[in-house]
Amino acid sequence: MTELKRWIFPVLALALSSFLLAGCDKIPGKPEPEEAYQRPTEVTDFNVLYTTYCAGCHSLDASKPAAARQLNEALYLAFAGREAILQITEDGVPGTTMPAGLIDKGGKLTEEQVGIIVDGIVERTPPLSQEVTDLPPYRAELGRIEEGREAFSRYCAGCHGEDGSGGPKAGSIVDPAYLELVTNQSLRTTVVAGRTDLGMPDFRNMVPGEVMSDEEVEDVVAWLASHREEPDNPAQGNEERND
Amino acid sequence: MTKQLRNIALWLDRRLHLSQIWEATAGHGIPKSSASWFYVFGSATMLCLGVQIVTGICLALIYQPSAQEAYASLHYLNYEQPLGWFLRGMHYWGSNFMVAIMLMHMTQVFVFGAYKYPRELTWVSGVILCLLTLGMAFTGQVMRWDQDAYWGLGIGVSMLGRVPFIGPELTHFLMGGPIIAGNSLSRFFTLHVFIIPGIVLALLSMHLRLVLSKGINEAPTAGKPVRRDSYEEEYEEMVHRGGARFAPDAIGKDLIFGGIVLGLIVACVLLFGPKGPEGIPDPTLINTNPRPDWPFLWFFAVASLMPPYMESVVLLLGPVVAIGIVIALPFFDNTGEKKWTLRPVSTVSLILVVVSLAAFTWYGATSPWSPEMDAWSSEPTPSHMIDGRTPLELQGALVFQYKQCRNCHALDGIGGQRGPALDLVADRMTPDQLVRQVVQGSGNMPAYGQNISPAEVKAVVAFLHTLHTEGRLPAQTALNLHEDPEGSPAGGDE
Repeated sequence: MTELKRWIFPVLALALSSFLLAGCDKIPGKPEPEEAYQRPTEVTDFNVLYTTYCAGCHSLDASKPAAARQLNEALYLAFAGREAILQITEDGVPGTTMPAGLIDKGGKLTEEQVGIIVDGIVERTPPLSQEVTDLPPYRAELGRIEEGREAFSRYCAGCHGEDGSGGPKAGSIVDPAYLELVTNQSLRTTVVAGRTDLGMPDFRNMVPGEVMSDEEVEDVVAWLASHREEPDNPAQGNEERND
Repeated sequence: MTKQLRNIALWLDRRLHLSQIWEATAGHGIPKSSASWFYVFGSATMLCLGVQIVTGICLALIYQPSAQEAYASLHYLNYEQPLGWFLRGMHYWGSNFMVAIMLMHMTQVFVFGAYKYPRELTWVSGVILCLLTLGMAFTGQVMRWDQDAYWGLGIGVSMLGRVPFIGPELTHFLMGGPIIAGNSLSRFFTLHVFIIPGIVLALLSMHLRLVLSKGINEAPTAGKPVRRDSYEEEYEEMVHRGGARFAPDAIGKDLIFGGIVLGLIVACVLLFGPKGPEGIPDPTLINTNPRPDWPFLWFFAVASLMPPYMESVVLLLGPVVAIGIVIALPFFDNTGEKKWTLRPVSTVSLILVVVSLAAFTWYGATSPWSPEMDAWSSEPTPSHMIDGRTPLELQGALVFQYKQCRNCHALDGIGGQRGPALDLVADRMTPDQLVRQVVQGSGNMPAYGQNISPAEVKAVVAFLHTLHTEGRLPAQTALNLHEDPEGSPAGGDE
């Protein structure tokens, strides 16, 4: 009996360990080939690429506001199209905070990787809930400034203020520093596709029941662009003040 | 049959004197107080050395010590050779346990005052064995031939290059040329596989011989100081009257502890696996975050944190002085009390050293001074810092990412820690101060004035000025009060 008592604990421990180990289908420490180090230019997983190179500005969580446009908006995808997104990803947007992606253009990505990112963005974007027949073209010339002021007043002033310098719901859209950092195309994209993550409606929903026409979009962008001027140099102001 | 086997065994024993050797070594007498759990670390270190030798020989059958093949042969071991990963894991974790248990052994020897008369040379040989073991760990890291190995070696030889007069020649000699290349790997392979293990085995023999001839230190008792004229007699008496024998009286604890150590090594291999190889050793890959293995993390931290003017003195004289003090310890603290409670200077010194090493190791592991090189493109601006911002402020958030401010400044705890976190920067800095900081930099922060446009400065400052405690106004310069049409007391006076 005493002999049995001596052995019962080790035997039970062994049985319990074996039972627990039987539940393992993988040894945690065994390295798997897919976990092996890859050169940055050899990574082909969309999620890894997007997380490493895009998420900083375009965010990972599509349900929350991002500093730059969320890249899973159906209307934006329909408006810009794969080709434009590919071109922007490859070349960046000079003069703005969107850097070039391609290694040849100063970025860190190969052509294949850029393709994977763009395809991934397209694939994960949900389809439009309803077909948009009156979608303006992605690229267009600037319209008429004076008419643009009127269109702005009608569609945008409710949030951005009558003169665009900020209103009850949104800040200034005519600040020279802001305009210095965005392109006309970016203004056009924002007017058409809105920024749903920030609460800005698209061109169909600025005013209930009214859809902005192609001309009105062009005119608003022209009026906004007309506010471009050399922005103040804050450092200069600082120096003067210090003097 | 049994009788024949017994006769063969006896014949062999008579010829080889095996039982006499066993009696003279494992059967040596020890003080009864030494047959305790505090005395198991030395044998466990030796066990780890055995693991390293066996697994090292097996690894050498596959490993290719050439710059072109080394990395690929480790991949082969990890992913193709059956149980190759296990072998690598045993060698890696065996090394970790060897260093850790060796340091425990050394600490125990220090705390028990075992380095005192007449065991000075046991201590000195142990210290040299400790340094050689660290040398094995460092050269073993080079064998991984990955980014950690490449940059670790680069830093090591750069330090060597600071030696006056012969520094460049020493560096050239160690690397086998002017750059880290195939010759460097060959030399470190030779050091790791032949030279250092050879010296370790020779010194270990001496260490063990001294343990046998000078005996295992007794557990110290307060009020029984070591005296040169009487200690050896007292020790003899302790061993022969009421003493014990290592085998079979004390060896049980060593065997049990050895078994536990082996089990822990295997468990670590199964749970965590072998280390690396990490990124390929290509200096053109700048997205690396190399750091040494844990025994050297404290040194990595010290080297990173010390001011530049101290570097040469600390890097060259520091190790010499530190090692000199440790080696000389039994010569200037040769006799007297062994009990740690009666050696306050030693005890406090040990605590200081352990706490300092632990703190620096933690700093080395986290290296808050290193920028997070991918943070700018991979860590989104926290959404609560985006919500409700103006278009200019949003552009500022983008400039903050684009100019890689995030690599050094964390938001919401994510990002680099080289600079201060900026979650509440507007509580403490006015817009003018922010502009000055961005344009002119200060302290560790470079001046961005030449690399940022006025519009970008305005945008990023506008964004940063929104980062303040909720319900509290952001900091404003007092000068702005003069411009306030509503007037302030100061403005009113004017």
